[in-house]
Amino acid sequence: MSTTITIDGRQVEARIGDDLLSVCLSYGIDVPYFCWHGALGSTGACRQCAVRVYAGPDDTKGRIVMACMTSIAEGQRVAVADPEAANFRARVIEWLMTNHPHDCPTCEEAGSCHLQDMTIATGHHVRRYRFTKRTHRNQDLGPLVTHEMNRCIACYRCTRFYRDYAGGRDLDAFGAHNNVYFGRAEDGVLESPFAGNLAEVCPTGVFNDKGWSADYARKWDMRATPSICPHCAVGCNLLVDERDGRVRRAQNRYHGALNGYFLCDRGRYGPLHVVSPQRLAVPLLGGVAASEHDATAAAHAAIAAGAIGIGSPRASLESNYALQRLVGPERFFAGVSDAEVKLLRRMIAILRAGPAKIASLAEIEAADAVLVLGEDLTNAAPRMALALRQTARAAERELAAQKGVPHWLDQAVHTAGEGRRSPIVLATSAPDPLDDIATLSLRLDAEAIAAFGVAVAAAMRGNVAEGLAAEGQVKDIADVLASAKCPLIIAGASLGAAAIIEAAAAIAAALGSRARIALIAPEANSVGLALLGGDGIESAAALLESGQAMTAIVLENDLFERAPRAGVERLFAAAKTVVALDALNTEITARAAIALPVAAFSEAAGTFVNYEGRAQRFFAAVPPNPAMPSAWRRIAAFGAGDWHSLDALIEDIVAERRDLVGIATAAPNAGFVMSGGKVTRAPRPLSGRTADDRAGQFADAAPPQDPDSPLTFGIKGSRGTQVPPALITSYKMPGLHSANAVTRFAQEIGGPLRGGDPGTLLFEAGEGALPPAAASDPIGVDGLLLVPLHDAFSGWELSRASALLAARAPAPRLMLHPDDAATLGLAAGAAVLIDGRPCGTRLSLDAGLARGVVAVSVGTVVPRGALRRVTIEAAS
Amino acid sequence: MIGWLGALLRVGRKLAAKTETQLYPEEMPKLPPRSRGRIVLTRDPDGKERCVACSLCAAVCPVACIDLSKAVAEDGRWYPDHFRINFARCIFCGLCEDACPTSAIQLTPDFELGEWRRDALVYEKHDLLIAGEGKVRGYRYWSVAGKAIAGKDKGEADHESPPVDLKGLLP
Amino acid sequence: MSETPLTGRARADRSPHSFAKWQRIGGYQALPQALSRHSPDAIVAMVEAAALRGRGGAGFLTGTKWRLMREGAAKAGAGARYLCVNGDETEPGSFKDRLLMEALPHQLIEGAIIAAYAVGATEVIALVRDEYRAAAVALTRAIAEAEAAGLLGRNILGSGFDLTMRVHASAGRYIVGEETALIAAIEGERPVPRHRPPYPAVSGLWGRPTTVNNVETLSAVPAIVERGADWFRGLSRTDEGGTKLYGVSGCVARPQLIEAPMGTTARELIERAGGIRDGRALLAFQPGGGATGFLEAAELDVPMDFAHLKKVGSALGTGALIVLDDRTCPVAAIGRHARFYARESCGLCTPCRDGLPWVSKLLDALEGGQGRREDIELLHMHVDLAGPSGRSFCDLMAGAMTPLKSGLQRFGDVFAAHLDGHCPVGRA
Repeated sequence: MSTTITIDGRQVEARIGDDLLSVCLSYGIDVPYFCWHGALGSTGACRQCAVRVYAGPDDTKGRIVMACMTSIAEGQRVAVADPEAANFRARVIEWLMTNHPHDCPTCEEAGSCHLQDMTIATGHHVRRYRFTKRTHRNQDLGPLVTHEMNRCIACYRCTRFYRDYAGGRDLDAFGAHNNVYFGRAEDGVLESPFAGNLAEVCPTGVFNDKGWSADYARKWDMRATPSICPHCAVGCNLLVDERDGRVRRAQNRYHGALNGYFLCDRGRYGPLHVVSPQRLAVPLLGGVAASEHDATAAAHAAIAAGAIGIGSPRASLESNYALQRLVGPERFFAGVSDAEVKLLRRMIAILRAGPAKIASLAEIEAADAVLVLGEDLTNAAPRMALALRQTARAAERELAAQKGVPHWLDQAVHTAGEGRRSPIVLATSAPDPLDDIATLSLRLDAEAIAAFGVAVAAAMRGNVAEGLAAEGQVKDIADVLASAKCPLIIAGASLGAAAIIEAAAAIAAALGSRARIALIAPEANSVGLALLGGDGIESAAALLESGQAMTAIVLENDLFERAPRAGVERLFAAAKTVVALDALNTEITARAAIALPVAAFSEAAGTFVNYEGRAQRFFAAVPPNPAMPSAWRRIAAFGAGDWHSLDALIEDIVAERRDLVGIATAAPNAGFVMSGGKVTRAPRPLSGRTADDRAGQFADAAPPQDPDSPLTFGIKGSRGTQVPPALITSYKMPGLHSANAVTRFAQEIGGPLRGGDPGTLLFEAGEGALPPAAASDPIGVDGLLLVPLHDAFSGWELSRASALLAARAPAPRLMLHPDDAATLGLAAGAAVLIDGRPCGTRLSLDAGLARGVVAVSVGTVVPRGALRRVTIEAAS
Repeated sequence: MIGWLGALLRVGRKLAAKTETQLYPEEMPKLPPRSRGRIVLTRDPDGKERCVACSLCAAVCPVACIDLSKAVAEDGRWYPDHFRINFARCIFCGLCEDACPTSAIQLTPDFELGEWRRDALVYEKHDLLIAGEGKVRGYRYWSVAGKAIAGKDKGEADHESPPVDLKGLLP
Repeated sequence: MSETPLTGRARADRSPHSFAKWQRIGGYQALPQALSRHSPDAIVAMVEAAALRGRGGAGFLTGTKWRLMREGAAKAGAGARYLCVNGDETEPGSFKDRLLMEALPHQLIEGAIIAAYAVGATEVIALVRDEYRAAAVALTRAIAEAEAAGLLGRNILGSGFDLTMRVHASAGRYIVGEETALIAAIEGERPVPRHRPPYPAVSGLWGRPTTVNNVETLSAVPAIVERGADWFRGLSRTDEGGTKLYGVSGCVARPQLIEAPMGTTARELIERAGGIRDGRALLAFQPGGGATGFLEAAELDVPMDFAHLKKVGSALGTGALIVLDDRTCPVAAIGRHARFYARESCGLCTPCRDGLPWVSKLLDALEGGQGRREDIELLHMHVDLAGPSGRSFCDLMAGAMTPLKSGLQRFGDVFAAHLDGHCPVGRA
């Protein structure tokens, strides 16, 4: 229910039940605060947001309250500028400053520090405290996050995020009074895959991005560019910071429907793969460095002999399309296995058919009953797992609301919720980090998961199957989903099992249009690639073997990770020449006859289509390097087209493919300009621009040109809240230099950005009937079902090339259930063969695994592929 | 009318006055220490470089002629792994000296900066770093900073209590 | 006994009576009456009519608190409801609950059972501060005895009322005495206060309706049920019912606990405690423990109850009289309090966590002769800005500022005299 309240004489609309601080911030009234956070609610610890509130027109005295802990009431009058409240706010800073170290010059946070901003905002500037400061020893929390406890202002945001929001257990508050300490019980690596968010959540310099610190530049010296995470299919939005032509760090870019305020560590630290020594820096001929001229000439010649193109789910839509145009659609192949191609096509068909709507992360958080079939979300699509942790609290929030507890009083909601949990059922093959929020965790192999899903769908239609694993629960789960207001089904391609996708579709169909569905594709542009079309690697090899083409052009893809080795070897054998285009050195570029370096995701513009079918644009964070052009530019030079800019290429795409017309609106085109000029990446002052100007030529007089985006590298340009959301380079507002300023850019706290969340949905549910499923290939009965183990800190070859992430990633694993191991006569630590081939990873045992499976790290030990059985035996 | 006559007389008197040419460079002008000439990077009383690569000087420089980047030494100190000032651009405003929180960067009265080649006007750190403390004696940033370095542990800076013992049993 | 119904049956050595002995000397008469003759609402009405005010420091009408619990619990739906006994007596100067727990555990248990019956609780959890080992032992034994006698457990005395009771030893901080921090401590969480609303009556221990009552409050309940509300009111000299277990400590000849009618004056209490020791004169006294404001000789005849003391700018608090003689330096005394409160801050909110150590250091500097003029201004700043209720998360800070505020008001000249470089009183 809405009401009008008055803030410093200004009348504003507010919702009864919201808190006063959120309302002030959403109107751009910068009441200072620390412990409040848009995703974590109010705590009332810092006492920084003190304002005077009058109960009504007759109240002349009012009282000083904390805005974050005050409910909106009818007729409320608020005085932020009240002298006593303002004085109190300055004293809060003074109290915090009694212990705060004189560290700013040597603190990474300075320049984007919320404490600095609030200190200036309150006006406290004279130190009256003359006694000693309390000090703390730091802890080594691992390779990703720094720790400097002297700086702590005890806002408790870190533990509230880490424990309450992200479900971590190994970070906590210790001690009391002014000894209070935030860290681990002992030094050690922070376990949560979301620990990196501490760097943004902490309003001072206690926790910072360790990778950024190692190759450091001040926030005011780094250009920032809107980008999209190139790893998993969630498509979180990033801001990529650059200085001196090098990417320094990635930060969260707010997206109201997707990642919100947080990233996973793979998305935060993975982008540093672009500065790794694994970069393909020079063209190679037969694995040996060659000149651009020689290498491209060789490539032209090879392509002229007849070529097929192999695309990639990690390459941009535009690069994939250009390749498809170059070789023609019948010769364009997706760089994954045939099985994965079929799976992705089917997933998209299911999403398009409906009736269940495709769920964004925000919609996932709003669900009230969830069934997850097969996906280990925390490791395959980590940010989605984080969303599911919030979903789990729905039942708690409902009970708390019944008791009259406001939704923003987070701890009270938790207490009043009496530990109730929304029904979340996980059906997975291995122990799952989400087990602690699941109301039911079933450990089943992939076939049993599919059968289980089918049984649930059948039970919804009144047919209860018998003789099934977990049959007792089938009816209960079906009932829970059917009676939920907003049931959600999550499945995906992680296990390579087509039957699981069909089961998810059946359940969604049985539930109808109030249901939501999310089908997780493997990579950032898996869906985009699937929309373009193209069969798998096995089909590509077949075409080469038929002699219709001699050359295979492989676009940004380490095929050995994405398809079974046999198929890839077949391709190499059948191709006379392999031309590899990539940003990284991989086994493909090493074995290819010709390898040409192309731009990484931070060096080019392009489009990724995420699991929702949302086309999102990423832009180049560093000036273009002619030695490493966008892949599509190289392909254009091979004769695919004469596009001089990304927009020209996109025009051609949407002209030919009307179903992809949404790509063009994912972001404004390069011609977009505002009254202040093109949107600038550069902050003020971006120092040092004339320091190396030796010939009288102003280095920045002609800033590097970027024909593929409406962004400029120069210092003159547009900034601020009027910038279209897809082009936001900075949240900086007057007096607000940290990520906390994002509140100015959202329509309401936690809601969509002003101007709408970025990206365009390319398809929606309900577009047509679902064709019947194709017959699935038989799997056989001999051997153990292979469960691909994903890992949040590993991912695929891109993220593994990030040194920081590699330092954090666990060693690859190969696991059996102890009983299965015993049957095979294997003990923990044994060296084994998988289908007769040696495996570098020793066997470990896990009694939490489903029976009849072998869980193996995917990407590192085994490639992606269809669900299959393998034999495990001792290596002699 | 008398005004211009008086001015003529005042100026004309100079014709008869003794010439006092300052024979530069044999006689150097006496400039006060605050004169804004060549920029130097100074050291603290222990002889360690003061600059902690905080980038405030670079940020405040109105012509963006200072470029530096931070590195971390073995003992944990921050220091600039390169520090460049382009004196072809510098306007000697002194804002960098005002901004510096460690009294590292200072302007000196040395104005003799002429060069024959423009790129000789770009000074690197070894051109800027001097052996002494410059105009500011006795200041040592690390004595007041909370960040620990080798030789100055937590609790050993000025006005600090010893680090909290979290595992102690006393309240 | 009739003048000291609360403590009359305590042994001089504070050892508890066995269950059998307790029954013989008249204990556990009220419980059967309560369960058989009165509905829970009737008990609530009786306690309200008795004008029993909470003896833990806030002085909230107990009957009203119980009625709010019954109303709040109606919203909560079926499930557990809790009565918590606040035995975390850590307020400086307070030692009354220690006697009641050590010597009269069955009285407390009987009061707790009746209270649980009145508010509809299903479990009683008695939080006893860690240092009160003897009290915890006595209470635990007494609970076992009561269970064995069928006064705890299922279908107590055939009434259909089920109740369990246990002792929970705190891990030892002052803040655990704050009711929401007490609840957090029992839950196994860090004992940090929680925001109200929601009030414990609606969402307390583990989110269930909860009432927290002080040991002395509950110990007074059996007598009210047995002898009636009018009798209880009649014991007092003022509108607030019953006797009060006052404590007298500090510069008196015989520090002790004194059970006296509510509204007894400080003059009488000090006299009964042997008067100011060594023949000195009174400087000031804190009527209700370390968090109450100083009063002086002019207020010696103010009836010591909640309303009267509030009117003269102080508070009854726990009724723990701390007496300062004219050889005591108020700056030093306030400094000792400040050191305690600074150390006992939970660390959640800024003014308390960072302001109290500063106040403590300022007072130490003043007392040690190193004070500066600005220090006194800073003390005023803390009192004015952090003292009012609502500035900090809970009232620990407000409590800590109260003696400082009254000290600055009444002894401002003594503070100023310290600026000469030494304490004018010369002895702490």
